[in-house]
Amino acid sequence: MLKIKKLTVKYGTDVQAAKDVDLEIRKGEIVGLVGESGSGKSTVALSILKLIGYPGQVKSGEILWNERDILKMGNEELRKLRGGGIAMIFQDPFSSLNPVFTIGDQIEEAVKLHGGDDAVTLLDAVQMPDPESTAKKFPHELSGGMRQRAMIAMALAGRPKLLIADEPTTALDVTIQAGILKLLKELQAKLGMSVLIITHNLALVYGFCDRVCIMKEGRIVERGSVEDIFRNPKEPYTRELIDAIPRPRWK
Amino acid sequence: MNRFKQNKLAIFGLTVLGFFVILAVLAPVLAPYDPSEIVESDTLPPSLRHPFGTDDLGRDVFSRALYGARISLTVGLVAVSISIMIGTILGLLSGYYSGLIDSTIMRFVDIMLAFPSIFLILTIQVMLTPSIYNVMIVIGLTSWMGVARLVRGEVLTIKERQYVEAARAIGASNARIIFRHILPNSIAPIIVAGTLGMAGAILTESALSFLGLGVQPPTPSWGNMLMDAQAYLVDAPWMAVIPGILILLAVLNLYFVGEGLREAFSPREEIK
Amino acid sequence: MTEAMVRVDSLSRHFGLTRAVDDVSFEIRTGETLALVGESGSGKTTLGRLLLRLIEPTSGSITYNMACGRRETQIIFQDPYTSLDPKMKIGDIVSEPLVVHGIKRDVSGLLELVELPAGFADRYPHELSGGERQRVGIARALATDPAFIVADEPVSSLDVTVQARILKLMLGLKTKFNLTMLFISHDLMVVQNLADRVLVMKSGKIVEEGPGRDIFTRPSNSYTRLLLESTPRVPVI
Repeated sequence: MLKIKKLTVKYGTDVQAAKDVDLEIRKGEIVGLVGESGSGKSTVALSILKLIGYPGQVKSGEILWNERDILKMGNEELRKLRGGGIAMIFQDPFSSLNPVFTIGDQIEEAVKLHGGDDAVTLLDAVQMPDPESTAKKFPHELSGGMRQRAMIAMALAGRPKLLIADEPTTALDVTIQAGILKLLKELQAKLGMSVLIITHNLALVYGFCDRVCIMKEGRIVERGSVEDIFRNPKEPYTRELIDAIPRPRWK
Repeated sequence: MNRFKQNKLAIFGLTVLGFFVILAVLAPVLAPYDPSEIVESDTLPPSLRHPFGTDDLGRDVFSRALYGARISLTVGLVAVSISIMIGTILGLLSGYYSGLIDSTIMRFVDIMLAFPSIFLILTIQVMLTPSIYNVMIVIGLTSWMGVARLVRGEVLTIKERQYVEAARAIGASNARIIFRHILPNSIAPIIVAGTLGMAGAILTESALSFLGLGVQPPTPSWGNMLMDAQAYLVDAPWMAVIPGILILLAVLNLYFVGEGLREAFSPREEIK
Repeated sequence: MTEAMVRVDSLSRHFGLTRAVDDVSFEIRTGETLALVGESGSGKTTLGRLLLRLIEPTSGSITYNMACGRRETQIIFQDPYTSLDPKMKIGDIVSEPLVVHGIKRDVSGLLELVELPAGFADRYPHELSGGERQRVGIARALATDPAFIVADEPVSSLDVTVQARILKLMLGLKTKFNLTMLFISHDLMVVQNLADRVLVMKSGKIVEEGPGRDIFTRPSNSYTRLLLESTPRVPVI
């Protein structure tokens, strides 16, 4: 469904954020893109919706969405795609939500652009307690976890076939993280959409993703099913990442 | 540093200014004539012997311009240094200590700003005997307010940074924190303000000298050369054009450099 | 020998109506590492600042059983990118506490302790990686041989592979110098190997307290259990 071919992105004149990246996401799959800071994972995610701005530049490669190259799309088509076929949620829900509009208004904005269910239905779908009154609240009145749910509701407005989640739980407390991941997994199953999750936390992908790609310094160094990666890591870097996960010391 | 070098306008400005400085420093060596000496018949147009012509008293304009550069650049530099010193210290104290000290200093700034500075300077100069020294001091004493506000703003931001908290946690004294941590990190806007302030100081000195309240003749200053040129705008336009262009160039290039510095210092997004 | 170096009695800190720290009492014994674990809003950061005398309590007391004064307590900050003065050389950063307190000590020895080459003393923070900067922060904290160190989320901003290395370093230093340390973290798993005892905080209060092993294997409080369950599990290979 989504095919990234040989993507190379440069920032300014010398930094190559992504080098020759190949990535495929099939229908209904949950794929994890894992890497530490500077690995280029966010760059790849942003490129998918052509969100890379100056001084970043896509130097070469194609991003095929149902066989059409996103990088070559015109503005109209791109606008329809963003939030429509492909939706994205970001790490910090606080800065991604406009502080002067209510949650309901912001979700409605997405609905207006792409059609679909209304705000309250969407908020209910993301298991927001008391969706009607929440829709009337402002971002600062909600907790981090609730804000992230609101973001997800906005992303779902256009019934996307692919949801890109860029470090969706990194800014959240660990007890809330689990809830958000559970929600995403349920939504994925119910709506049959594909999910691309970007994270630096390899432990997170186990139990969440079907397939994983490990990135280091702009390149994908290993890819495979989650089971393969964890039980049979081939690259030393993958093994390093796995070893770095804190294990329970007792029992 | 690199970004500054990339800014062609800024480099150009720096080169021209550097050139001016060299000319000013070497004026006694380069000037073909004594600037006060009457060498020739008056109001001669530019020629090989007198590249900028002669003025109404028969003095070589080129030599006067060179010596005038000394005056203007020196006054600019000293005046701006005074204003930066006063402004920085007051800004540091105001921003760091807040509370009563901050209010007091800021009210003082407001009061000073309420005076139209030109009139203030003119009044002071009229009361004193105008000379190059009190020009420098007066300009310095009346233009520190912008710097103070600027520095205060920087200090307020930097004060909250974690490395300042770290210094406090180590047990560093306030003085140490201010001078060792906060000041070096707030240098950037001070330097920018410095270049722009120097441009302003040169303009002010020129205006004062033009009015006869600055550098006194026979010492040449671009400003008082303009004063002499007033009556001869038609007959000997070079007398006005030369100092006018020199003032323009000095100020303009200071602006190029200042803007270039501001550009270079402005924070860019950190891409992890 | 194992007497309390720091004793906290009914300590509270209010910010207006919010009780950031609410009637907290505990001890830190000499040579022990106490982990303070909690999520955002639990009060752990405020408690750390209170113990360092960077802010004053609203009520309650903190008693230090050592020569009092700033010199004896030091802090390691969370963010290696902002806790070092960008205009200072590494060598000056590390020796600043020495300068402030009038102690003479060799900076290269301190750098060696944190496994950094002596040549780094002439470099600036922006030339170092996150992990290296954090090592500098640790060296700075150890410089005056403090009696008590507060480590405020020292590895939270670091990449996972770097985290593991820094924790290993800290464990080595803890053993070598018999450090008395308060280790603040939002991640229970991170403190496993370093903590002798653990305090779990929630909404300004301590909800559970005990030796590391007990907290991890037999948590008695439901919140502690929730924390443990929320960390993603991974198969052991």
